[in-house]
Amino acid sequence: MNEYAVRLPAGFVSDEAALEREFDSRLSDSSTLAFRVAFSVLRHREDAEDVAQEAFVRAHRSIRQLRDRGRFRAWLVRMTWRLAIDKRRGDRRRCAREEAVAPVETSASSEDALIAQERGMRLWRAIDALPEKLRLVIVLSAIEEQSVRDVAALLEVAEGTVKSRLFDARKRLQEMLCETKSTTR
Amino acid sequence: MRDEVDDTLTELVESLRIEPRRDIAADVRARLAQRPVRIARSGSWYFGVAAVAAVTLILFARAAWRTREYGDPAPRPAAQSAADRDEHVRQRLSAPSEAVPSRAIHARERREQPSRMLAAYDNVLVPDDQARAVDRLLARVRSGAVIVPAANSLPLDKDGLLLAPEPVRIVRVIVDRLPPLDPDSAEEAQ
Repeated sequence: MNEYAVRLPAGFVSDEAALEREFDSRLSDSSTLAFRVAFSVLRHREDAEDVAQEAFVRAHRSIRQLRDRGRFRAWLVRMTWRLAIDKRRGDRRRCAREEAVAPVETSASSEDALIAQERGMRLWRAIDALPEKLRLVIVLSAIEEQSVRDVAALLEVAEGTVKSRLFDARKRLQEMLCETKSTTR
Repeated sequence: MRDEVDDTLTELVESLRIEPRRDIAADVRARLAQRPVRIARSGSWYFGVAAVAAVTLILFARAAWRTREYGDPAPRPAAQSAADRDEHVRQRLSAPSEAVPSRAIHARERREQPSRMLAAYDNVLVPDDQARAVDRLLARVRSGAVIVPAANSLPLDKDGLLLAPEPVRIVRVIVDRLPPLDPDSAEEAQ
Protein backbone atom coordinates (compact mmCIF):
# COMPACT_ATOMS: atom_id res chain seq x y z
CA MET A 1 0.00 0.00 0.00
CA ASN A 2 2.76 2.39 1.02
CA GLU A 3 4.63 1.39 -2.05
CA TYR A 4 1.74 2.53 -4.25
CA ALA A 5 1.35 5.72 -2.25
CA VAL A 6 4.95 6.61 -2.94
CA ARG A 7 4.87 5.52 -6.55
CA LEU A 8 1.72 7.33 -7.62
CA PRO A 9 2.80 10.93 -7.06
CA ALA A 10 6.22 10.17 -8.54
CA GLY A 11 4.60 8.80 -11.70
CA PHE A 12 2.22 11.70 -11.79
CA VAL A 13 5.02 14.22 -11.47
CA SER A 14 7.21 12.52 -14.08
CA ASP A 15 4.22 12.35 -16.44
CA GLU A 16 3.66 16.07 -15.95
CA ALA A 17 7.31 16.84 -16.57
CA ALA A 18 7.34 14.71 -19.75
CA LEU A 19 4.25 16.52 -20.99
CA GLU A 20 5.86 19.89 -20.30
CA ARG A 21 8.99 18.85 -22.19
CA GLU A 22 6.93 17.60 -25.12
CA PHE A 23 4.94 20.82 -25.25
CA ASP A 24 8.13 22.83 -25.12
CA SER A 25 9.62 21.02 -28.08
CA ARG A 26 6.39 21.39 -30.07
CA LEU A 27 6.31 25.06 -29.18
CA SER A 28 9.72 25.57 -30.72
CA ASP A 29 8.82 23.52 -33.82
CA SER A 30 5.45 25.00 -34.61
CA SER A 31 5.60 28.64 -33.58
CA THR A 32 6.37 29.83 -37.11
CA LEU A 33 3.59 27.68 -38.56
CA ALA A 34 1.06 29.14 -36.11
CA PHE A 35 2.31 32.64 -36.86
CA ARG A 36 1.99 32.15 -40.63
CA VAL A 37 -1.49 30.69 -40.36
CA ALA A 38 -2.55 33.66 -38.25
CA PHE A 39 -0.84 36.06 -40.62
CA SER A 40 -2.65 34.57 -43.64
CA VAL A 41 -5.92 35.60 -42.00
CA LEU A 42 -4.95 38.87 -40.32
CA ARG A 43 -2.19 40.23 -42.59
CA HIS A 44 -0.80 42.10 -39.63
CA ARG A 45 2.46 40.98 -38.10
CA GLU A 46 1.88 42.00 -34.48
CA ASP A 47 -1.67 40.72 -34.41
CA ALA A 48 -0.55 37.42 -35.93
CA GLU A 49 2.13 37.10 -33.25
CA ASP A 50 -0.45 37.76 -30.54
CA VAL A 51 -2.83 35.19 -31.98
CA ALA A 52 -0.09 32.57 -32.33
CA GLN A 53 0.89 33.18 -28.71
CA GLU A 54 -2.71 32.87 -27.55
CA ALA A 55 -3.13 29.64 -29.55
CA PHE A 56 -0.12 28.12 -27.79
CA VAL A 57 -1.38 29.18 -24.37
CA ARG A 58 -4.72 27.52 -25.11
CA ALA A 59 -2.98 24.46 -26.48
CA HIS A 60 -0.99 24.22 -23.26
CA ARG A 61 -4.16 24.48 -21.23
CA SER A 62 -5.89 21.63 -23.03
CA ILE A 63 -3.08 19.45 -24.33
CA ARG A 64 -4.17 16.69 -21.92
CA GLN A 65 -7.39 16.38 -23.90
CA LEU A 66 -5.45 15.62 -27.07
CA ARG A 67 -5.26 11.83 -27.08
CA ASP A 68 -3.08 11.45 -30.15
CA ARG A 69 -0.12 13.77 -29.64
CA GLY A 70 0.96 13.22 -33.24
CA ARG A 71 -1.97 15.39 -34.29
CA PHE A 72 -0.64 18.40 -32.41
CA ARG A 73 0.24 20.45 -35.48
CA ALA A 74 -3.14 19.86 -37.14
CA TRP A 75 -4.87 20.73 -33.88
CA LEU A 76 -2.78 23.87 -33.48
CA VAL A 77 -3.45 24.98 -37.05
CA ARG A 78 -7.21 24.69 -36.59
CA MET A 79 -7.08 26.51 -33.27
CA THR A 80 -4.94 29.31 -34.65
CA TRP A 81 -7.14 29.64 -37.73
CA ARG A 82 -10.29 29.97 -35.62
CA LEU A 83 -8.66 32.42 -33.22
CA ALA A 84 -7.40 34.55 -36.10
CA ILE A 85 -10.81 34.60 -37.76
CA ASP A 86 -12.44 35.60 -34.46
CA LYS A 87 -9.88 38.35 -33.99
CA ARG A 88 -10.38 39.62 -37.51
CA ARG A 89 -14.14 39.78 -36.99
CA GLY A 90 -13.65 41.73 -33.75
CA ASP A 91 -11.12 44.05 -35.39
CA ARG A 92 -13.43 44.68 -38.34
CA ARG A 93 -16.18 45.79 -36.02
CA ARG A 94 -13.75 47.96 -34.08
CA CYS A 95 -12.26 49.46 -37.26
CA ALA A 96 -15.73 50.20 -38.60
CA ARG A 97 -16.51 52.10 -35.39
CA GLU A 98 -13.19 53.97 -35.42
CA GLU A 99 -13.46 54.85 -39.09
CA ALA A 100 -16.92 56.22 -38.47
CA VAL A 101 -15.41 58.59 -35.90
CA ALA A 102 -12.07 59.53 -37.49
CA PRO A 103 -11.43 59.72 -41.24
CA VAL A 104 -8.42 57.74 -42.49
CA GLU A 105 -5.41 59.86 -43.36
CA THR A 106 -3.90 59.27 -46.80
CA SER A 107 -0.15 59.49 -47.17
CA ALA A 108 1.74 60.17 -50.35
CA SER A 109 3.75 57.21 -51.62
CA SER A 110 5.72 56.30 -54.69
CA GLU A 111 4.04 54.81 -57.73
CA ASP A 112 5.80 51.44 -57.35
CA ALA A 113 4.75 51.09 -53.76
CA LEU A 114 1.19 51.87 -54.74
CA ILE A 115 1.23 49.28 -57.51
CA ALA A 116 2.69 46.66 -55.18
CA GLN A 117 0.13 47.54 -52.58
CA GLU A 118 -2.64 47.27 -55.15
CA ARG A 119 -1.38 43.85 -56.30
CA GLY A 120 -1.18 42.62 -52.74
CA MET A 121 -4.69 43.82 -52.02
CA ARG A 122 -5.98 42.12 -55.16
CA LEU A 123 -4.30 38.87 -54.21
CA TRP A 124 -5.70 38.83 -50.69
CA ARG A 125 -9.11 39.96 -51.87
CA ALA A 126 -9.21 36.97 -54.20
CA ILE A 127 -8.02 34.61 -51.44
CA ASP A 128 -10.54 36.04 -48.98
CA ALA A 129 -13.36 35.50 -51.43
CA LEU A 130 -12.72 31.74 -51.46
CA PRO A 131 -14.84 29.49 -49.24
CA GLU A 132 -13.14 28.68 -45.95
CA LYS A 133 -12.21 25.08 -46.87
CA LEU A 134 -10.54 26.13 -50.10
CA ARG A 135 -8.90 29.13 -48.49
CA LEU A 136 -7.35 27.01 -45.75
CA VAL A 137 -6.02 24.51 -48.29
CA ILE A 138 -4.49 27.14 -50.51
CA VAL A 139 -2.96 29.05 -47.61
CA LEU A 140 -1.51 25.92 -46.02
CA SER A 141 -0.16 24.74 -49.34
CA ALA A 142 1.52 28.12 -49.70
CA ILE A 143 2.95 27.86 -46.19
CA GLU A 144 4.09 24.28 -46.72
CA GLU A 145 5.61 25.12 -50.12
CA GLN A 146 2.91 23.26 -52.11
CA SER A 147 3.42 19.90 -50.39
CA VAL A 148 0.11 18.08 -50.73
CA ARG A 149 1.13 15.41 -48.23
CA ASP A 150 1.96 17.95 -45.53
CA VAL A 151 -1.28 19.85 -46.10
CA ALA A 152 -3.26 16.61 -45.95
CA ALA A 153 -1.57 15.77 -42.66
CA LEU A 154 -2.32 19.22 -41.25
CA LEU A 155 -5.96 19.09 -42.28
CA GLU A 156 -6.32 15.39 -41.48
CA VAL A 157 -7.88 14.67 -44.85
CA ALA A 158 -6.85 12.43 -47.75
CA GLU A 159 -4.29 13.70 -50.23
CA GLY A 160 -6.89 13.33 -52.99
CA THR A 161 -9.18 15.70 -51.10
CA VAL A 162 -6.42 18.26 -50.85
CA LYS A 163 -5.73 17.95 -54.57
CA SER A 164 -9.37 18.39 -55.52
CA ARG A 165 -9.73 21.37 -53.20
CA LEU A 166 -6.59 22.92 -54.66
CA PHE A 167 -7.99 22.40 -58.13
CA ASP A 168 -11.28 24.06 -57.13
CA ALA A 169 -9.46 26.91 -55.49
CA ARG A 170 -7.31 27.54 -58.57
CA LYS A 171 -10.39 27.48 -60.77
CA ARG A 172 -12.19 29.99 -58.61
CA LEU A 173 -9.13 32.20 -58.39
CA GLN A 174 -8.90 32.14 -62.19
CA GLU A 175 -12.56 33.17 -62.49
CA MET A 176 -12.14 35.95 -59.99
CA LEU A 177 -9.02 37.29 -61.64
CA CYS A 178 -10.89 37.28 -65.00
CA GLU A 179 -13.72 39.24 -63.44
CA THR A 180 -11.36 41.77 -61.89
CA LYS A 181 -9.62 42.26 -65.22
CA SER A 182 -12.85 42.80 -67.09
CA THR A 183 -14.09 45.33 -64.54
CA THR A 184 -10.81 47.31 -64.53
CA ARG A 185 -10.77 47.59 -68.35
CA MET B 1 -4.79 33.32 -67.40
CA ARG B 2 -3.35 30.10 -65.97
CA ASP B 3 0.00 31.90 -65.69
CA GLU B 4 -1.67 34.65 -63.81
CA VAL B 5 -3.07 32.17 -61.29
CA ASP B 6 0.36 30.64 -60.92
CA ASP B 7 1.80 34.10 -60.41
CA THR B 8 -0.84 34.79 -57.79
CA LEU B 9 -0.04 31.59 -55.96
CA THR B 10 3.67 32.26 -56.15
CA GLU B 11 3.00 35.68 -54.76
CA LEU B 12 1.01 34.09 -51.98
CA VAL B 13 3.86 31.72 -51.17
CA GLU B 14 6.24 34.66 -51.11
CA SER B 15 4.03 36.75 -48.89
CA LEU B 16 3.58 33.88 -46.44
CA ARG B 17 7.29 33.23 -46.22
CA ILE B 18 7.28 35.66 -43.38
CA GLU B 19 9.01 35.17 -40.05
CA PRO B 20 7.76 36.53 -36.74
CA ARG B 21 9.80 39.34 -35.27
CA ARG B 22 9.11 38.38 -31.71
CA ASP B 23 10.24 35.08 -30.23
CA ILE B 24 6.79 33.56 -29.85
CA ALA B 25 8.06 30.49 -28.01
CA ALA B 26 9.85 32.63 -25.42
CA ASP B 27 6.79 34.82 -24.98
CA VAL B 28 4.58 31.79 -24.45
CA ARG B 29 7.01 30.31 -21.93
CA ALA B 30 7.13 33.60 -20.05
CA ARG B 31 3.36 33.84 -20.05
CA LEU B 32 2.93 30.28 -18.82
CA ALA B 33 5.51 30.83 -16.10
CA GLN B 34 3.62 33.87 -14.81
CA ARG B 35 0.30 32.08 -14.35
CA PRO B 36 -0.32 29.96 -11.29
CA VAL B 37 -1.33 27.12 -13.56
CA ARG B 38 -0.01 24.18 -11.59
CA ILE B 39 -2.70 24.03 -8.95
CA ALA B 40 -5.49 25.08 -11.24
CA ARG B 41 -4.47 22.70 -13.99
CA SER B 42 -3.70 19.52 -12.12
CA GLY B 43 -5.94 20.10 -9.16
CA SER B 44 -9.13 21.46 -10.65
CA TRP B 45 -10.62 18.00 -11.06
CA TYR B 46 -9.86 17.04 -7.47
CA PHE B 47 -11.13 20.36 -6.12
CA GLY B 48 -14.38 19.90 -8.01
CA VAL B 49 -14.92 16.40 -6.59
CA ALA B 50 -14.03 17.60 -3.08
CA ALA B 51 -16.48 20.49 -3.34
CA VAL B 52 -19.33 18.22 -4.46
CA ALA B 53 -18.52 15.74 -1.66
CA ALA B 54 -18.48 18.54 0.92
CA VAL B 55 -21.86 19.89 -0.21
CA THR B 56 -23.36 16.38 -0.14
CA LEU B 57 -22.04 15.80 3.37
CA ILE B 58 -23.46 19.12 4.58
CA LEU B 59 -26.88 18.28 3.10
CA PHE B 60 -26.89 14.83 4.72
CA ALA B 61 -25.85 16.25 8.09
CA ARG B 62 -28.58 18.88 7.89
CA ALA B 63 -31.21 16.28 7.00
CA ALA B 64 -30.07 14.06 9.89
CA TRP B 65 -30.21 16.99 12.32
CA ARG B 66 -33.70 17.96 11.16
CA THR B 67 -34.93 14.39 11.53
CA ARG B 68 -33.57 14.22 15.08
CA GLU B 69 -35.01 17.63 15.95
CA TYR B 70 -38.45 17.41 14.34
CA GLY B 71 -38.93 13.70 13.76
CA ASP B 72 -39.22 11.73 10.58
CA PRO B 73 -41.15 13.78 8.02
CA ALA B 74 -44.40 12.15 7.02
CA PRO B 75 -44.70 11.36 3.34
CA ARG B 76 -46.64 13.93 1.41
CA PRO B 77 -50.15 12.65 0.86
CA ALA B 78 -51.05 11.72 -2.66
CA ALA B 79 -54.01 13.32 -4.41
CA GLN B 80 -56.94 12.99 -2.07
CA SER B 81 -60.60 12.85 -2.75
CA ALA B 82 -62.83 15.61 -1.40
CA ALA B 83 -64.18 13.22 1.24
CA ASP B 84 -60.68 12.39 2.46
CA ARG B 85 -59.86 16.06 2.70
CA ASP B 86 -62.97 16.77 4.68
CA GLU B 87 -62.12 13.94 7.03
CA HIS B 88 -58.62 15.29 7.46
CA VAL B 89 -59.94 18.75 8.30
CA ARG B 90 -62.51 17.36 10.72
CA GLN B 91 -59.75 15.48 12.50
CA ARG B 92 -57.68 18.61 12.70
CA LEU B 93 -60.51 20.73 14.06
CA SER B 94 -61.41 18.18 16.66
CA ALA B 95 -57.87 17.42 17.75
CA PRO B 96 -57.21 18.03 21.47
CA SER B 97 -54.73 20.75 22.35
CA GLU B 98 -52.01 18.19 23.24
CA ALA B 99 -52.18 16.87 19.71
CA VAL B 100 -51.46 20.23 18.17
CA PRO B 101 -48.88 19.65 15.50
CA SER B 102 -45.36 20.71 16.22
CA ARG B 103 -43.91 23.79 14.65
CA ALA B 104 -42.24 21.84 11.87
CA ILE B 105 -45.37 19.88 10.97
CA HIS B 106 -47.41 23.04 11.01
CA ALA B 107 -44.90 24.71 8.72
CA ARG B 108 -45.08 21.75 6.41
CA GLU B 109 -48.85 21.96 6.29
CA ARG B 110 -48.64 25.63 5.49
CA ARG B 111 -46.55 24.72 2.47
CA GLU B 112 -49.17 22.34 1.19
CA GLN B 113 -51.31 22.96 -1.83
CA PRO B 114 -53.80 25.84 -1.49
CA SER B 115 -56.56 23.53 -2.75
CA ARG B 116 -55.98 21.39 0.32
CA MET B 117 -56.55 24.39 2.53
CA LEU B 118 -59.77 25.34 0.85
CA ALA B 119 -61.30 22.42 2.68
CA ALA B 120 -60.33 24.11 5.91
CA TYR B 121 -62.43 27.08 4.90
CA ASP B 122 -65.26 24.71 4.20
CA ASN B 123 -65.15 23.77 7.85
CA VAL B 124 -64.77 27.23 9.31
CA LEU B 125 -67.79 27.71 11.48
CA VAL B 126 -69.68 30.88 10.77
CA PRO B 127 -73.06 32.22 11.93
CA ASP B 128 -75.96 31.25 9.66
CA ASP B 129 -76.52 34.77 8.42
CA GLN B 130 -72.99 34.82 7.07
CA ALA B 131 -73.20 31.44 5.36
CA ARG B 132 -74.21 32.88 2.02
CA ALA B 133 -71.30 35.29 2.09
CA VAL B 134 -68.96 32.41 2.86
CA ASP B 135 -70.43 30.39 0.00
CA ARG B 136 -69.77 33.24 -2.35
CA LEU B 137 -66.28 33.60 -0.98
CA LEU B 138 -65.53 29.91 -1.46
CA ALA B 139 -66.92 30.01 -4.97
CA ARG B 140 -64.57 32.85 -5.74
CA VAL B 141 -61.65 31.06 -4.10
CA ARG B 142 -62.35 27.96 -6.18
CA SER B 143 -62.51 30.01 -9.34
CA GLY B 144 -59.02 31.30 -8.55
CA ALA B 145 -59.88 34.82 -7.40
CA VAL B 146 -57.16 36.88 -5.75
CA ILE B 147 -57.96 36.96 -2.09
CA VAL B 148 -56.33 38.90 0.73
CA PRO B 149 -57.05 37.91 4.33
CA ALA B 150 -57.69 40.62 6.88
CA ALA B 151 -55.44 40.18 9.89
CA ASN B 152 -58.27 40.14 12.44
CA SER B 153 -60.39 37.64 10.57
CA LEU B 154 -57.95 34.80 9.96
CA PRO B 155 -59.54 31.48 10.82
CA LEU B 156 -57.74 30.14 13.87
CA ASP B 157 -58.17 26.85 15.63
CA LYS B 158 -58.57 26.41 19.39
CA ASP B 159 -54.89 26.95 20.06
CA GLY B 160 -54.68 29.97 17.92
CA LEU B 161 -52.96 28.17 15.04
CA LEU B 162 -53.72 29.36 11.59
CA LEU B 163 -55.94 26.99 9.68
CA ALA B 164 -55.17 28.50 6.36
CA PRO B 165 -51.77 28.99 4.82
CA GLU B 166 -50.44 32.49 4.67
CA PRO B 167 -50.43 32.70 0.91
CA VAL B 168 -54.13 31.92 0.69
CA ARG B 169 -55.69 35.15 -0.42
CA ILE B 170 -59.21 36.04 0.59
CA VAL B 171 -61.32 38.89 -0.64
CA ARG B 172 -60.84 41.45 2.05
CA VAL B 173 -64.32 42.88 1.78
CA ILE B 174 -66.01 39.55 2.37
CA VAL B 175 -63.69 38.31 5.07
CA ASP B 176 -63.90 41.55 6.95
CA ARG B 177 -67.60 40.88 7.39
CA LEU B 178 -66.88 37.58 9.10
CA PRO B 179 -66.58 37.79 12.87
CA PRO B 180 -63.43 36.25 14.34
CA LEU B 181 -63.97 32.56 14.98
CA ASP B 182 -65.02 31.90 18.54
CA PRO B 183 -63.48 28.62 19.81
CA ASP B 184 -66.41 28.04 22.20
CA SER B 185 -68.99 28.25 19.45
CA ALA B 186 -66.91 25.84 17.38
CA GLU B 187 -66.94 23.29 20.15
CA GLU B 188 -70.68 23.72 20.59
CA ALA B 189 -71.29 23.21 16.93
CA GLN B 190 -69.34 19.99 16.98
